[in-house]
Amino acid sequence: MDEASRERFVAFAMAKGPRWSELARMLGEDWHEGEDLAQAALAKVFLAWAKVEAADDPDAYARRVLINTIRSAQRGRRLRQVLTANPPEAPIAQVAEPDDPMVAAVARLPRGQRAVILLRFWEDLTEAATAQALGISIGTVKSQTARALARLRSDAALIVENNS
Amino acid sequence: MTDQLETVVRDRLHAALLPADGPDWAGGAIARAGKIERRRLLLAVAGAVVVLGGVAGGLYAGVTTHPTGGPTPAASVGPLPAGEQQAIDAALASAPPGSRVETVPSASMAATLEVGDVVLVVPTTTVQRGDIVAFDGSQAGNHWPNVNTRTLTDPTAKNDFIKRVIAVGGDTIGCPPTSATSPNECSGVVVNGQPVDERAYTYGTAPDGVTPSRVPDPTYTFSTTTVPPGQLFVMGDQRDRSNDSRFNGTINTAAVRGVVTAIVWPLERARAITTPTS
Repeated sequence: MDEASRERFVAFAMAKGPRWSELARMLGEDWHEGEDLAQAALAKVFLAWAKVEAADDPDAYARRVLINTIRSAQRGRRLRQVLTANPPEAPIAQVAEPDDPMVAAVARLPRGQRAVILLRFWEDLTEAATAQALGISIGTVKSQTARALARLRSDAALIVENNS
Repeated sequence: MTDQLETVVRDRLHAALLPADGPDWAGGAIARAGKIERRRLLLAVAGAVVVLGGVAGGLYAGVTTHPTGGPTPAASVGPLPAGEQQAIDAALASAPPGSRVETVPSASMAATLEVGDVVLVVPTTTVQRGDIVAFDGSQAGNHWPNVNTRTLTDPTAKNDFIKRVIAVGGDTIGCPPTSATSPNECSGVVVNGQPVDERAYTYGTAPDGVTPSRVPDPTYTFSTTTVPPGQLFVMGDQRDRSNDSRFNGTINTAAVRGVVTAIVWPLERARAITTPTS
């Protein structure tokens, strides 16, 4: 990799890292894993940087790498959670759990709905771009968004908050 | 009502989810990439040992190997190498009037067309299924992105995409899921009710993430729609790496600059591009 494209990667990683870490935190199954997943996805992007830069839409290509990284972590998860007789050691550094009621409500949504809500309303992607990022149809994006909004509308915690 | 909630969700997420400064994102990623690379190298060495073992065992059946490393993408600025200019001149001299050359901007058609290939684009009024077309993304339709950022030799081609026509005006096209349990995995493209055999031109990516592979990427499912008259449904040959009609909708035939009939440069890849018969 030549110096110029390496520099472009560094700029890309600095710009995307913090957002990706938040996204991975919200889309993954474990609140504490976001940073690690984002870092792993950036490493994959670095290895394929020439391909990423050559893609029709480099941002969209890189976003798919992130989504795929999160998804493979989710796949492995079922096997990794094991019941033990003794409680495991508590993690040393605690990352704050979401304290904003809206963020917490979105975090409670099922995977698919959570993904469309974050990509549409936090990443501000169009329906088409969201469909592409998740590898689903635009129709599915629309229906998942509608279902997620219905759920948020009836989310008890948000209603209480609104009335108080 | 819904619009209002959408706005609320958008505003609240933007206000509450604040990306914080984290670790050294770039440095960390590059270091981690090094680890992945070393693991791959170990696997490759292990693979080579197996292959060499096979050769020693007399299993080698006279297979010729191709030199590794593809052609280098054409330079984006400055005068063209003499050979390239001659090849382009020769191709244009024997092509119908109005023809032009374009540089392939993305890997979405790999390995049929590689990034940097110079292709001959011949204007046409009849586009058929299977043709590879070059078209102006800014004229194609509302959902097509503006990618006016590419550094290509020809500034008028900056917004151009090169894709394969899969369905034409009046056709129905869809990609139904293989089964109810895997709703995103498509069993194959269906045009006018007939499954299309796309094995001749679709490609995927090998496990190394770089080399094009003959095993195609799955095409994401999309529901059956009718292509309106005067429109085309286009897709890249490398389905996992192509931003096309599956996401951006059909394109106006008016946006089509022409059909790609040949690779002109680099010389070792130069060949005529024909439309697959199926």
